[in-house]
Amino acid sequence: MREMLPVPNYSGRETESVVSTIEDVAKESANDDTYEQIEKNALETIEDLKRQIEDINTTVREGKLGTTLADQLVADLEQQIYAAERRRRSEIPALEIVERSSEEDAIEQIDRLKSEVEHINALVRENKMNTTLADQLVATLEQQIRSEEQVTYTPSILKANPAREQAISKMLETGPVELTSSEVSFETEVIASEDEEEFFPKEGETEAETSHEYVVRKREFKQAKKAYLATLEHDYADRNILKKTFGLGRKALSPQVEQAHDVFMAANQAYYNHAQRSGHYERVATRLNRERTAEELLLPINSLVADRHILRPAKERLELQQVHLPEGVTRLKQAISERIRKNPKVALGVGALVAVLNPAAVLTGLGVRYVGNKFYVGSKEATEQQVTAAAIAAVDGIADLRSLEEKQFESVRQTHDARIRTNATAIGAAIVAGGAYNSSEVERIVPTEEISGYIDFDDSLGVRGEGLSETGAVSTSVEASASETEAAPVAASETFVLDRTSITAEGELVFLTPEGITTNSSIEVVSPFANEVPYLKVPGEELIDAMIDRIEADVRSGVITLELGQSLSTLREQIIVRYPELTGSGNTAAPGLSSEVWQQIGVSGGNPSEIPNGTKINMERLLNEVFGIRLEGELMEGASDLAKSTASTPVPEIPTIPPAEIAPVIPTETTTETTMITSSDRGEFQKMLDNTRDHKPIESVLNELAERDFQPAISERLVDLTTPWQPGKTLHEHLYRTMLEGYRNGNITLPIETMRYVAGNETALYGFIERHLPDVSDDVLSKFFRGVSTEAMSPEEWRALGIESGNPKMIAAGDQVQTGNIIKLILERAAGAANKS
Amino acid sequence: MNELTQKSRLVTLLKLDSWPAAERAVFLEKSGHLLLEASIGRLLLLLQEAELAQLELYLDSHENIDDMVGYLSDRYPLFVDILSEEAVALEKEAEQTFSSTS
Repeated sequence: MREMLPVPNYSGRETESVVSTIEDVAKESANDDTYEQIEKNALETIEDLKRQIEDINTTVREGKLGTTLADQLVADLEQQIYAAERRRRSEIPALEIVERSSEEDAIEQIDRLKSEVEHINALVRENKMNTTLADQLVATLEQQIRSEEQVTYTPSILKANPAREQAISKMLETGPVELTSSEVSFETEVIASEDEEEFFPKEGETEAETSHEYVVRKREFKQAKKAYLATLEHDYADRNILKKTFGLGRKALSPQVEQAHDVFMAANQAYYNHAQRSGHYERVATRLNRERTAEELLLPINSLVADRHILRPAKERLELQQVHLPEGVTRLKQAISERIRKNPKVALGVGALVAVLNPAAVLTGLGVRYVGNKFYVGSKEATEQQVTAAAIAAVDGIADLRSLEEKQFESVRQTHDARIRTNATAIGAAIVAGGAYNSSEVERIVPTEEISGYIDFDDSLGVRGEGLSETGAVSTSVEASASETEAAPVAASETFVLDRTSITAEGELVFLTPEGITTNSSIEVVSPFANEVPYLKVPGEELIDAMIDRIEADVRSGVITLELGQSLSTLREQIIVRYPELTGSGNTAAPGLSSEVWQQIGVSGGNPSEIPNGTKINMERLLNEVFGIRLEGELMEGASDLAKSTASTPVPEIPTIPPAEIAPVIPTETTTETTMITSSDRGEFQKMLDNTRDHKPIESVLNELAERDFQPAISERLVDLTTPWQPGKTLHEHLYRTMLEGYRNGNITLPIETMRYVAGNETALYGFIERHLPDVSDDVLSKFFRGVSTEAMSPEEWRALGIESGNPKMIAAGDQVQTGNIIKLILERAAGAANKS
Repeated sequence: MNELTQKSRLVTLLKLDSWPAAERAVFLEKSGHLLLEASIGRLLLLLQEAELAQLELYLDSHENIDDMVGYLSDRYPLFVDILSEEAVALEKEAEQTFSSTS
């Protein structure tokens, strides 16, 4: 009897474009229904064929059918399944081609391709992609853009009114013109259709008709936008009014531009209203999230809609303006923008201004001020209020106000001539109430539970804040002042640097006994701001600082190379997660090291959050325990030595498997916990730490979303691969080379993000394996940086995979290692981790 | 409640508070970049040649400025006013588009 073979449902790698965006996923089509119908029919056919196979198998089990005949019948049905699959795959892309060849989608496609180019440029600027790869990708994308630009765009609405067509075409070609009444009728049509009744399907109106209506609205929107931008362009070129008109506002625009803008806004509104009320966006969201559970309904339909109707039109207008900036200004602007991009929180905070400011408030004298990394919102007469730090914390899910405070200190250190013009509230207060802004508004942006425990809302005019409830150490109440105060800048050495440790010539870290420190637990770090809340620093944090300093020195000297995505701030977070005892959180989370080991390191009491003054810490031992690094900077087993180690290792023979139909791997439930701390121990603390991480850049968020679409697949031939083991190689290397070969030949799929990394540097696959199968790696530092997505396997599991010792690092010659199944396991775990994220 | 406590309607119109955190962050960050681009452009257009030269010199000699917005707002107090104006302009435009469905 033959068992039913898995049905392929994924054709392999992305081929259209290396850089995928969310909009790829969300791309709408005018023929949504046709799309779904094809899908539905094909799936029904396949399901029917599968049922027939099951029936045959059941009949065989019941002894009513011979296996030979059954095999033939099943083989026949499988052929039909594959044929149906192929049909399904060929029909749907065909539809996509039709869509993309349409005029309206050509423009959208061009926009998308351009945004991909921008994305790549941004990655290069941030040193996240090498220029060679970027050049190749950009060249490919530009070719696609040119190809799309060949498509002629003739909106149907123009065809319906020759006079209007002529007028708007003229406008597109030559700039603003006076529109006659018949030409302006376009505007009235659009505005007339704002009548809500029109947006609901009328009795007898089919879904196809509403879909047609959607296409019309969309075209009107695009056409109006194009006309508006063309008019604007002409205005800038002719009137030399850039200084007065630059920006997102509409000051000093010509009547023609005002008119074109009104038309565009009406079309934009009509398009949005129709899409929303006809349920189009809802259907798109449903389709996007069809395969997901309620908890995973995260695909970004909201931001796509906001992007289409708000941000993109504004951005296009701004880009148009920027073309006319003087060369020197453009250069300066780019230089400033690059520096701002280094701190994504700033952009996030500025974006939050849109949500927290209201036009009436600004018009009536509300002032916004910025000191350090914080915005203060308030009228000149009223209390100055801090908003944006809270908004940043809120939208970012940041609970760690301490890190914000540190940034603020750093900022003040760097800007010695900064005049502190506010009687600032405590940073711990973060969100304040009354006056310029009330807490309920903040809560709208930030669900209270996200910041509960860190922020105390008070809707009175006074300001009360509680800071750092994480440690429970600080609580304060600050009266806001209506007057401005000025504080002299404070030199860093006088206020911030309260050295209580020193490194001896022998490399020991010594806890000093500076004047004023009498406790052996926490010290108070004082803020330069008169009313700032000091925070307490536990001795364990000194150890973290010392370790980071040490690693940083090795990074600077080139001993350690940070890979893509690695950063010292990530390392700090990893240390805190894995060694919670350093921050005094070991009482609630399992400590990373036992008290005996801490004593061997030099912490006499065994608790690094309480280190008596005068203690000498053996840094070599500490680094060794935590990272597996020797003080002289050599990695014991480091990722940086990968090239060295692999170069000296005989390359194992890997059978070349031709591209084949690849079968899906069903993702299995995997855990994201590390082996060091149990989930129950981590609990809320872990959640909080996760939330304190630096805000992820847009591309990271997009990448994460893209990862969720990962459908792991491996060819049948590769999954059957068993390797008779030969000494002289490691399983990690063997898997790396086999997977790389398999990936190149289309025998496995990888998550999009991993594909990008592999495209830039093939050894990224090495880390991918390590992340999802940590047992094969000894690289402690690399594990620290990357984290691991799953837990170790048991010896029994390894034995089942052909490793008789049960230890993947001790494989005997002649062991029949089930390479294919191990690769399948890695892919399953990757999918499991991605789908849980 | 005075006029200052009036809510930003954008939050209501977009139902921003109900968005997943990551999605909300993406939107706000994109908005922030847009506002900064617009505000920086406006500011630079207002500066005199000598001021532009000074700024360029400063940027050339300070490769790693952690808080560029802080520097600009200290050096050119008008910058934050521009920023808030741009925020309001974007918000108003968004309100206009979304308002009829509230």
